[in-house]
Amino acid sequence: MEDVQVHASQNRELDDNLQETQSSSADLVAWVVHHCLPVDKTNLPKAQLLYYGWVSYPSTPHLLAVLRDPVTGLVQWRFAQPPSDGRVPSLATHWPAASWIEREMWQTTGMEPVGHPDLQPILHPEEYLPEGMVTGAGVFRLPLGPVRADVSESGFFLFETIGEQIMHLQPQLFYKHRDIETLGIHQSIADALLLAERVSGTATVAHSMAFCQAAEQALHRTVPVEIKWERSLWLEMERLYNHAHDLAQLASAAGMSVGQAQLARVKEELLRLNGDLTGSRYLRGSVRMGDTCQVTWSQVRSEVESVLENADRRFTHFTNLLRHTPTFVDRLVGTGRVRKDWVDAYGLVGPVARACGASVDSRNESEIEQLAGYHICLPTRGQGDALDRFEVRVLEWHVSQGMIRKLLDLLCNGKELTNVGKYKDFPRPVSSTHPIHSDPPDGWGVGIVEGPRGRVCHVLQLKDDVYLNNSRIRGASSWIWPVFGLAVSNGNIQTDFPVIDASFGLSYAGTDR
Amino acid sequence: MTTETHHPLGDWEQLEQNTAAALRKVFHRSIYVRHIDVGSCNACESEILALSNPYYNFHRLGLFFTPSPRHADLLLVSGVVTRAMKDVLLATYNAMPRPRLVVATGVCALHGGIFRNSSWVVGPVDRVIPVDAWVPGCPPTPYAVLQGILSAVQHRPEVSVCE
Ligand code: SF4
Repeated sequence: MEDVQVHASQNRELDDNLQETQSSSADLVAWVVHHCLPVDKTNLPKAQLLYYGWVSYPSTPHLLAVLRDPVTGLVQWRFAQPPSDGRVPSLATHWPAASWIEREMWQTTGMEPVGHPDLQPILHPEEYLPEGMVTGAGVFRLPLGPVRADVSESGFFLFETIGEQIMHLQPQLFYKHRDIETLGIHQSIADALLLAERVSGTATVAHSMAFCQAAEQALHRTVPVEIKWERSLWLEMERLYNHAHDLAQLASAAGMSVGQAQLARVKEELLRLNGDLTGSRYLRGSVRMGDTCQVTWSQVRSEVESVLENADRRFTHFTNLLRHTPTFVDRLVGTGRVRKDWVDAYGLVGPVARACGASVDSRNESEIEQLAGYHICLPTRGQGDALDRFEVRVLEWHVSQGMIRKLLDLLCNGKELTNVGKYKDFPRPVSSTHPIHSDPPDGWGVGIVEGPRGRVCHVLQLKDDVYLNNSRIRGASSWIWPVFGLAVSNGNIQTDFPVIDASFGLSYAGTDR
Repeated sequence: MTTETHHPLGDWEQLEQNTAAALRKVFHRSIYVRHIDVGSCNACESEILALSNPYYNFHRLGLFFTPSPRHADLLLVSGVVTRAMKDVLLATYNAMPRPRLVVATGVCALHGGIFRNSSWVVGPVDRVIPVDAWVPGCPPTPYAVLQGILSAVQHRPEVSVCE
């Protein structure tokens, strides 16, 4: 009985805490629209939407929006309790970026986004397959998946074509929904970190780093700068092998077997280097709560540099050859073009957004830039087609190589990593204007990381500083998927699909969760 | 470099030679492999795909990926079986000609791994279809996957009869 009372009073306390950031659901939607949508075509949106969705706290689902001002780095939180009938105004009516998440919310919590332009089930694809949207003479429907050619993740696509021309494409994901967010609840931080690493296997560092940042913020802790350097280094290593992989897949989609084999070789060498350094080819366990990986950087530095140099030489050589192969370039030019206005409309992130000329990169907006003393030049391109996504990845590879060299330098000349101390010795400064330091409600934290596919965001709430009470994950690909269908039907033919698919390089697992 | 202490597999080259010799002894002819992802985190796919890169080049052993389960001798399953993928897995398995082999790769496919308590998950692969070989690891290395394929063939020798 006593236990119950304690629990109830605790909840009340936490409820009071939430009061300050509470608002009605209509206010919350208006607030997001006001901050995130450009007033007119010439204005840039003022804030980025880091997270929009629901959290199950304390017992009933609440709406939550987390925004960040990319210039000042200020993060703002807002919760809203939905009205008792569960009908909330739809953000997707104003902003298509919220469409998928509202459909998921509607199916999971029963909250109904009123006015949603396309309210249909998104979970349980085994029961609800998408229906066609195009009607007329000569329309042909071609279902593809969930098991597709080659080694790929499971997802379903409904093509609607007239002749060769793709008129409409509907991707149906969530075949692999494992409900990781619910699995994380009541887990200890250490166990939940294992889950975070396995949201998307090829973005292990991005997800585990975002998770650790969020948990550290919730604990009011910060980590020593050396650990931040090391985490950034892992993040760039992850970007290198992912970009090599994506470009290999793109070469393969365009029928360039030599390019594909050589770039796959680069990827393998990088994976082996990761394995040698951390014991895991996918860098599992390399990002730890307030701890380093126990690598003696001064001993391995020359080895790391020589592997990276070899990889760089091969990568540069073969991407150059690809760039000068007319049949390759022809396949990519103008293929799967992403229109510029989709960048804001869907809140695009990562290389896909940068290939449209948008300068969005969380690395640029984070403190690591100041800490490591470099400035990241964002490689952007203007056309938004498959060729630009190829070029952006090539350029980013070179930026990452430079960052790794700089970080290695810092790590070797800094303190021995085994002596830097644990994060317990480093309480968070009380007032700071830093992005991830602007104060969330008590017990909550947000982690923002630029993974290989774009911005990864973890929002979580801790209970008693030990267990997770809430965990929300927004992978990079979940922002991009809705645009994928649009880009494929943007004047392309059937045989362009593999090229577009490879040039986007999206993750299914990270979106399905 | 810390190679020796960290390398779970020891000498790559020796291992490669042994595996190649053993595979040739068992396979005699080519085997067609169909991969299916039933709920993995994508690291397992990445390792399986690595089998075709120049380092592992599993084609030289007579192993090939095939786009259709109708041409497949062996089904390589990765991930924990989600509710949505259960029937898809069954349909894929049923579409395969006999004799057919199934190799479950990764801890998820073995016993559900970290996701086994999820209500969206059916369970490990052998809850749905019979499995011939299990490959542990999270993710298993490409060599481990090769080893798994090899033991599946040894486990069901009638598949390799081609004399
Ligand atoms: S076994 Fe590990 S690597 Fe493979 S799918 Fe499961 S979590 Fe991912």
